[in-house]
Amino acid sequence: MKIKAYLCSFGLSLCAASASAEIIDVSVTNLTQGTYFTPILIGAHDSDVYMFRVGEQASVDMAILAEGGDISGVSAAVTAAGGVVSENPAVGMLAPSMTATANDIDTGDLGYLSIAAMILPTNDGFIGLDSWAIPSTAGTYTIYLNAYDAGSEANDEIVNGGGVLGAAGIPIDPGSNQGTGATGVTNTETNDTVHIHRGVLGDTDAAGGASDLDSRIHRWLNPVAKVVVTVE
Amino acid sequence: MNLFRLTLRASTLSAILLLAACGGDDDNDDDIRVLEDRVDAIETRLGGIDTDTTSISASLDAIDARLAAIESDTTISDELASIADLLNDIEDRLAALENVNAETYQITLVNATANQPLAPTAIILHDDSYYGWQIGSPASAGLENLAESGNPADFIAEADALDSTTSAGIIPPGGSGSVSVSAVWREDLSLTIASMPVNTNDAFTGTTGWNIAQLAPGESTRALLPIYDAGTEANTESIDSVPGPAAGGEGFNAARDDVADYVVRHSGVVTADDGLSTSALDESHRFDQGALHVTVTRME
Repeated sequence: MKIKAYLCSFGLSLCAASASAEIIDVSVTNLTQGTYFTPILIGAHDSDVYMFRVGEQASVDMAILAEGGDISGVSAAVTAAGGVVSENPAVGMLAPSMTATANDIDTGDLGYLSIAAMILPTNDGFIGLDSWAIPSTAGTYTIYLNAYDAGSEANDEIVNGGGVLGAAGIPIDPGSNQGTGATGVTNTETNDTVHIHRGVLGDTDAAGGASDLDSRIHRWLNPVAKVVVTVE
Repeated sequence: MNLFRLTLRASTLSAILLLAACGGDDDNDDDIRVLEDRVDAIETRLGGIDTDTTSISASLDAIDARLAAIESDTTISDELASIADLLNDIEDRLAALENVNAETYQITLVNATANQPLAPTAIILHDDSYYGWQIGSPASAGLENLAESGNPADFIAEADALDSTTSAGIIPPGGSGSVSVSAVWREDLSLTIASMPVNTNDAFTGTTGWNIAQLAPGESTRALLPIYDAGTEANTESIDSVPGPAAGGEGFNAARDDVADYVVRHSGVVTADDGLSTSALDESHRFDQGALHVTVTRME
């Protein structure tokens, strides 16, 4: 560790050279009991590109991803900025306990890896990895991801199909454990920057209450995803 | 540091005055030994400086020669005072060099919580002889105060710090702040960071003993710091016991009435929205692990 730090201190060229033309595999495991990940976006990029950042407002594309699961906007933005992406390795939803793997991503000399996917059922929750430095040494690396709140939509926890940007409500519970008739947990978002998700509240009233989510099924604790990166 | 040196000077001076009042000393060996010890100490410190110290070494050699010359002299008080002045000067120049050798670390803090303002954050740079808390051990009085009232002053005062500072003020959710600390590099150079999420009874977010010595100049490292329970106050969440804007209750209280008087990971708040009717908190005050996002950069 110390030796590597010293090597890097001699100049960026050495580190950049050793990072060139790297092929990586990325696997993502859903560690939660009752939530699903919508199509997963994996991107490699430079240090001046990022999908989201804690304490900053989510981009419109990132809000679309977090509120409705559509990764196309963020994907296009990363590509336009010189990054490479791998889209939707699970080919749809990644169910609880399941793993999806994206093989042979050619990261070239791009030094950083980011990952995002919406969590269902939530209003604007997502799993996130922001600018993890891709190691130059071949090996297998494990990272644990937290659940973030995009800060772009109030967490009312009403399952009503609302997945379009700006529309209130949760699109769907892929596990079909949602209730109906909720009055709504809140209609405000007190923090409009990306932050650690406080979790869903839920309740145990399937035909009413404040939330359409089930507090015995839909809650989670960080970390919510396990990522294994294999550098070849 | 400066105070310490002034004290040394004063004691040296009084020893010399005492010597003069006695009209000389039969044996100057003890007084010379004191000066030689200082010469030795300075030589040790020179070993830790990378830059050119030839001029200081030359001054030390001259002093060594003079000390040797007067070892049997009986009227040396003037000479001793002169040498003491020279040593004072050398120590000042050495201190300046040591200051040049200090490394500066910039600490950027981002409040990653949904609705928990973070109280002024304690930032402590230290060696491996210090830690701010231990899982399973009672919180110190300073940590208790920090976690119950948000005031970091006592916690910082308790620390055996190489350097310390406090963030400029309360960091709101989504807000950020940046501070710097400096110390001479050492392989056990470590950080301790602590701040209270104020809409709680006795929670704090932070880390202790975070070794940052491996950072090269210009390099950064990041971490998302967890939330702990200080174990010093029951988590009633009541309006009279939570000091943050959600309640406006009491801050520090020396009584320790938590379920167990030791530091553990925090289990989260319940809130009135989740059935604790006596809670002053609502669902927006809930949190999961990861409250303070920290970036440490070793400056070039």
